[in-house]
Amino acid sequence: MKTPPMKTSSPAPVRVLLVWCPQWSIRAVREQAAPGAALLLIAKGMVVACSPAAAAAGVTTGLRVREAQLRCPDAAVLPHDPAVESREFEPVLRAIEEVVPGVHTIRPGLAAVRAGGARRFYGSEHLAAQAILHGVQDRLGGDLRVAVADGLFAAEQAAYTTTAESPLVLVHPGASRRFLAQLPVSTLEREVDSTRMPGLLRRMGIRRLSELADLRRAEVHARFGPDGLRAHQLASGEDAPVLDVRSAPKDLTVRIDLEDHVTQVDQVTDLCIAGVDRFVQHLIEQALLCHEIRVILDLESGATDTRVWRHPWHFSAADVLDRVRWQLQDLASDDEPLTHAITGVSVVPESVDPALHHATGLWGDRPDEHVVQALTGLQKTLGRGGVLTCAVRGGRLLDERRVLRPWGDALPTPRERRLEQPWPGNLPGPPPATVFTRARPVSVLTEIDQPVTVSPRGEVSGAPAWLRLPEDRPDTRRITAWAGPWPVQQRWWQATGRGPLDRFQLLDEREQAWLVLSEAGHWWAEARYD
Amino acid sequence: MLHPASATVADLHDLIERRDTSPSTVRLPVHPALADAFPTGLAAGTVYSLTGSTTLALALLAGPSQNGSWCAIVGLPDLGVEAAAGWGVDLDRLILVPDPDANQWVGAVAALAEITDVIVAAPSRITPGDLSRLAARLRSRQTTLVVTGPWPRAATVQATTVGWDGLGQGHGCLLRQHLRLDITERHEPRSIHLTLNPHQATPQSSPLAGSLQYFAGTPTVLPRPSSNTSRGPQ
Repeated sequence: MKTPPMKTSSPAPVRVLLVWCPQWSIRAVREQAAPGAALLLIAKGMVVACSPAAAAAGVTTGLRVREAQLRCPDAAVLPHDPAVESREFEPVLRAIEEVVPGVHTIRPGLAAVRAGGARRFYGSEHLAAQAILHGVQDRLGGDLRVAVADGLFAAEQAAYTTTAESPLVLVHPGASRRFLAQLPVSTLEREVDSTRMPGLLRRMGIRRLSELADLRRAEVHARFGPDGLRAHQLASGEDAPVLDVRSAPKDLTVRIDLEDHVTQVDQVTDLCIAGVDRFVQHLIEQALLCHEIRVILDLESGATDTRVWRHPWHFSAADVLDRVRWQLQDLASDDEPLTHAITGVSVVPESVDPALHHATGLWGDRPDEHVVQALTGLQKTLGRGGVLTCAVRGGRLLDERRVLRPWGDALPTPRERRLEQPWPGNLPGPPPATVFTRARPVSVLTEIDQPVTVSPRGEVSGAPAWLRLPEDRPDTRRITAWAGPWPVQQRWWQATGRGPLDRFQLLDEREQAWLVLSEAGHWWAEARYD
Repeated sequence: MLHPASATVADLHDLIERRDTSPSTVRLPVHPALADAFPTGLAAGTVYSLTGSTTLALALLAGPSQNGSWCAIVGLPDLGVEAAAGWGVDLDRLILVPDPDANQWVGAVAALAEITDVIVAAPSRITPGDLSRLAARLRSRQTTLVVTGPWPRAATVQATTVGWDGLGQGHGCLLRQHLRLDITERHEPRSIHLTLNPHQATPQSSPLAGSLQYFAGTPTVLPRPSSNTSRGPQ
């Protein structure tokens, strides 16, 4: 019987082909500044990266912004944004993938592939490295360096020894230790994630990696712990990195092409059934749940109708079809055929989440199945806006504080509701039971039938004595008690916003309490206490 | 000889039981502030006709809602949901059907009766056939319907605002509402005086972080009207 091979403490080194774009932080933001100008990237008040022009003026990384600007006064200062760097690096990764598949991103500006497969395909490591160099440079241009060595650490250090004239370096298998020998121990700083160890090694008289590698591994391990062990392995050229292959997320978008141009809403949704089932099936296969979809309708006229739908839990096939139908119904007007034929329907998942995160608990946070079914059924007969859910949101005007959403749409999250914020001008006392969706025009008159006005300084022209409700039947009521004006000032900085409002509470002779708003001489009933 | 007759009697008993129209003994809880007005709670599966106060209709939702039931409000598009939340109605389990057509009204209420324990609905025209079918549905689902208007064959709750506290001439703000409730349930009238006053809830105890104020009633029982007292032997 064959026995499994003995596990050694350091597995065989992996040949790594490393691609380095020098000065990537600067190159990623190069377009934001004038070409050739000095550029400083800043994070937490320190220089993270600087362009060659700035470096020539004496700026180094780790310098304070003030000091750097003193040395290079005309440098453009930009904030350091890792997200931008990653985004800009994406085309480079794609270009490498064209030549050699399975790219591992170490950090923006630095990518690695396993050299084994590429060597077999291109004939030798040198040819593979050249293929990448030319493949990427032909597509994107710019300075690019390629190194091949045992392990990531050696390959990275080798890449740093290249120059623009000879951008390719090859460290032969087993030669990594010799190559690393003369490097200072400070190169380990980033690898072992400990700033103290290199300094301590230097103080102990260990200045080069060869001196560290000559020590006994067990002793280094005992003195420095796991970091020391790792440092010793790296210094000995025994690096076996795990290269995670970058995996582009699968495109879950489903597009349904409608060949014969359809104008009936029901016809379109019927044709979508298979596609929507496929969409949900893809999600299930990937063990994903989707909370937000974008439905894109392509019209015959060339225009598109795009709408994002959010779901309080996650979309089932029937839910997606409902959204498509509602969007079509909004496009059509009242059971008429659509004015433009639909040529295609796309369903794009906007936000997906692993289904694992949403396993239903014992007391799930979503309503029971029969409630969902009953309400969805009711919504089919009454229309989308016929069945609503509600929430309270922060705001000053009562109608703004009320959030009504069709059943099946997500309500604002507690963070979006902003209830805990102070909202000056908010209403004291009990909230009224009737809040008019549209404020109703009323008149508030003084004792001598003159309209009550409020001056900009908040002075009332006379005590309100009569409330006239001109709605369905004219009705004038005596006001027995009142309070106000309570100014409500919001969005005065917006030109299109409302002017300042003044709020009054009125109590009429029938013990009916009202909340009325005064706006530039007009009076509106905002709510009724009934 | 007796066997066929007793079988017929048993059948008739069965039939009567199945068609039993007597009010159910199941009661729904009410908000503590309304405990004096409805000492045994609301009768499940019946209809209440409530006039004069939307606030009270919202308050009647609070008890079952806090017990974990779903509630629905039909035909009140101008509802202040904040007032409902102020009474402790869980808005996550509140369904609004703002504006059903007159011919959709019965269907909507009947569908909601399947899943909710209390429905507050604005009245609508209804045929006698629909009326009895709806009553049967409510009884079998043990769902209480509170109609904010007159309704045939329903327990009536007539709310009258007696006065408000807190508002002066140009100062103050509305604080407390005094209500008189004239309730006729199973042909027994009773009158209750309720004061609804905002109880300053501490932010920790309030689920809406102190932005809403809670009511707590301080009810006082009025002497019964003379028509009621004259029934007993004196």
